[in-house]
Amino acid sequence: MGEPKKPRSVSRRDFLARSARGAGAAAALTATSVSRAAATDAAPNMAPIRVADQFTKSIGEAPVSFDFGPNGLTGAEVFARVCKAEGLAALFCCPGNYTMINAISATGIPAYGGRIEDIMCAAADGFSRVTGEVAATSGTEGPGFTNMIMSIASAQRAHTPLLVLASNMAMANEDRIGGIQQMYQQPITEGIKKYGKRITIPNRIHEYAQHAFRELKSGVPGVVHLDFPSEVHGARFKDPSELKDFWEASKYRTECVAHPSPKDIAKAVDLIQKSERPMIVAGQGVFLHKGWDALKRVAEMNDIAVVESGPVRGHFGDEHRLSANLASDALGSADLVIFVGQYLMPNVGEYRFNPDVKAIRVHPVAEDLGRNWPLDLGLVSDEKAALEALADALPKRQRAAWVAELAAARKKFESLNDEYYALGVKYSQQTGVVHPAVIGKVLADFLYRGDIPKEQTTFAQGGWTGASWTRRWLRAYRPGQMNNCPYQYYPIGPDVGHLLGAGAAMQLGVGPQKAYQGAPVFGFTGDAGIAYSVMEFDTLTKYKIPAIMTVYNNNAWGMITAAQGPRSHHMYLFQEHLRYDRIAEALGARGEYVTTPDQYKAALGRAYQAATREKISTLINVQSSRDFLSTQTFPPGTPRNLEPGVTAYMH
Amino acid sequence: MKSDETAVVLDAFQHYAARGSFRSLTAVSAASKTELRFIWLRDVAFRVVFDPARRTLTFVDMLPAIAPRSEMDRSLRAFVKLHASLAVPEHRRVDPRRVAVKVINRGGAASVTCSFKTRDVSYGVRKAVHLAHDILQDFLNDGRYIHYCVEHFNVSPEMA
Repeated sequence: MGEPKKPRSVSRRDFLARSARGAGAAAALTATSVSRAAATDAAPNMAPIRVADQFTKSIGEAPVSFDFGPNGLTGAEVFARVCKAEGLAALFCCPGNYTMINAISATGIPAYGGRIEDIMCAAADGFSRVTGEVAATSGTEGPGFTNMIMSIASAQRAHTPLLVLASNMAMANEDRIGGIQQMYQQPITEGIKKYGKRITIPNRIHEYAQHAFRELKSGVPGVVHLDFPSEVHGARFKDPSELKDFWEASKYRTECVAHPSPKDIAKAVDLIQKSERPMIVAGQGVFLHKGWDALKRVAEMNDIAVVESGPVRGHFGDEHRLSANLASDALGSADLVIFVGQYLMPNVGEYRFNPDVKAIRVHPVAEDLGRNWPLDLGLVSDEKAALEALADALPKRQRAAWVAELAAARKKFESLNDEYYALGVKYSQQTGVVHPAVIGKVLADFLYRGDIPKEQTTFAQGGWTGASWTRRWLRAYRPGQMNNCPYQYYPIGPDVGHLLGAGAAMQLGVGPQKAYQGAPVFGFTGDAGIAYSVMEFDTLTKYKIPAIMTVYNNNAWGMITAAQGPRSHHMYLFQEHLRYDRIAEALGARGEYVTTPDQYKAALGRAYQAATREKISTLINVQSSRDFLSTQTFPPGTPRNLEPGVTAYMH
Repeated sequence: MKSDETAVVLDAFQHYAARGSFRSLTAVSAASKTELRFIWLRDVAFRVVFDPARRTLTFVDMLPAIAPRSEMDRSLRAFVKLHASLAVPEHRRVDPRRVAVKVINRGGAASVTCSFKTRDVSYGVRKAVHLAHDILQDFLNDGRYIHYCVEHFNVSPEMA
């Protein structure tokens, strides 16, 4: 009896070789054969990893329109109808809250079902951050909802317009602890939301849907958390007259925004004209309210430097001659700082400005003006409106010395990067593993100085100690290009969620991602972080969202430096040389394991090919060493970073 | 009665308190000198002494626990020297013709003293505060000193 026949399938290795030869196999490789390839490599007689036919069929179903017909609409359908009308851009969820997520998906709103509620919540946050659009997340009552807390808090700190939905059993069982999973949700999101409500009166569901979108789309955005007992989402309404406040969007919400008074603009112009070295801090409000063209006009009109802040970057590109994103040494020279759309104000001293700097702040609402930072002028205005008014009012002015200082500071930053990179190369050669400075440089060369247009790649920058290096090299050239995933709240771990959100946005071509629709997204995380969210490689793979995640693997929590005393280190250490790449392979994606800079560069190339030709994601496990954190053995241990600018993550 | 120069110094420090830089500013005069105490960056307490007779403003024991002639001691002196050189822009520079800066390490604590002429008191105070600010924000913002900052400058171990 001969050897059993191997299944007739294309191995991934063979396929990639053929792809590289230009076999044009992208169209030929179905999701099923991709999965079969992975299984074939692993064990010939095992059932292959595959995407279920039902998945493919389900995702291709035509959307439905929720109009009141003979059967009326359920509460969930009424809510989904408002979401559709309001342009809810996407839903990222895990099963639970069934009637609601079924209804939202049925409307045709792009919906993604994943593995872990918290990471799907991060995906919604990540999607919203790079598009500026409202996204939703959902989980089941109790366990699903509590699992989301870390990413809800993170989204709130980033002022993401995120709609958190969760079912919440039945009011009929309230306080009886009947069945499972009962809990009070709203008190748990206290302090980490803009608005929240447990909806208890069925015929007010439309009214509260209106309220949710008013909060999500007005003023300073944030998290809106709604929970629904079954009496609400399961209620049935035969016609609109049964619902309270059944009005269309134009009746319950306004697009009107605050504009600055001419008097305040005149004061601002006066301060700017008296300044020798003015600098705008352009926060995420500039991005969310689409003020990037007006920002550029203001800056160029009067030679005002611009430094970006907040969870998303790219609304003032790093390459611009007035950009201070890399000009850390020039921050202390500014004599006037103009905060625009800086939703989370730093305390004095947290930003590297000098003690004499004057300050103007533009903010959509008055309540936050003067918080944390004393102001010389506060303007209540929409960011775009204020920037347009300033651009119209400012005279043309050139500030050659200031522009030259910015250029010199950028050059100094890049020179320091070159020094760090040279050290990183030396340390990598000494140890046989890859220093994080080298990861940053190799990634940047691949994304911005190779064959890919430098504006193309949307990046999810996560991680902790590794990120303190890679942030120095990663760039943003257009709006929505860089998501600083752990911004401010600094959760370790949800980075694959952010990558998934950015990837979905890129595949759908939402907002500023439209110009590069379909392109792969890239991300960076650490070995501590990947453990929290690696399972979403299943979600990336089944939805064919091509993403490339670099994992900086130094065998330890980044906080290993906090280990003090001989009996503390064990709590900070992982097993060494863990193979996160193999986890990705086991989830139907590609894995790469590299120990040298050259291997890493080659792995990026292969991963990009697989992403563009087959829409397959890759996890690149870059072996590094925790010893690189030592300031004695491998100085400087961690690099010199200042805020605001490319290295910022706090405000 | 306070000297005019002391009044200039006090006004300057009040200015920084009003701008949100200094907290809990207090001034005590004794033996012709004025001592200012305040809370500054990272909620650290600072002590500054103005001596009108010598026209010196000293950030007393500004950086504690630095061994004399250590790498950190030498780097600090080089950093201060750099700020009086053409390597930094004019508006960031401490003009050596108007202000002399010295780093004095006594008992392992580094003090920074600025001395200036009568006509340059206002300029000198401003430059002294800016230089101290630069030391705290730039000199200490170096991976080599992160554990030092955890120990002495209220940097969270989470950030180390």
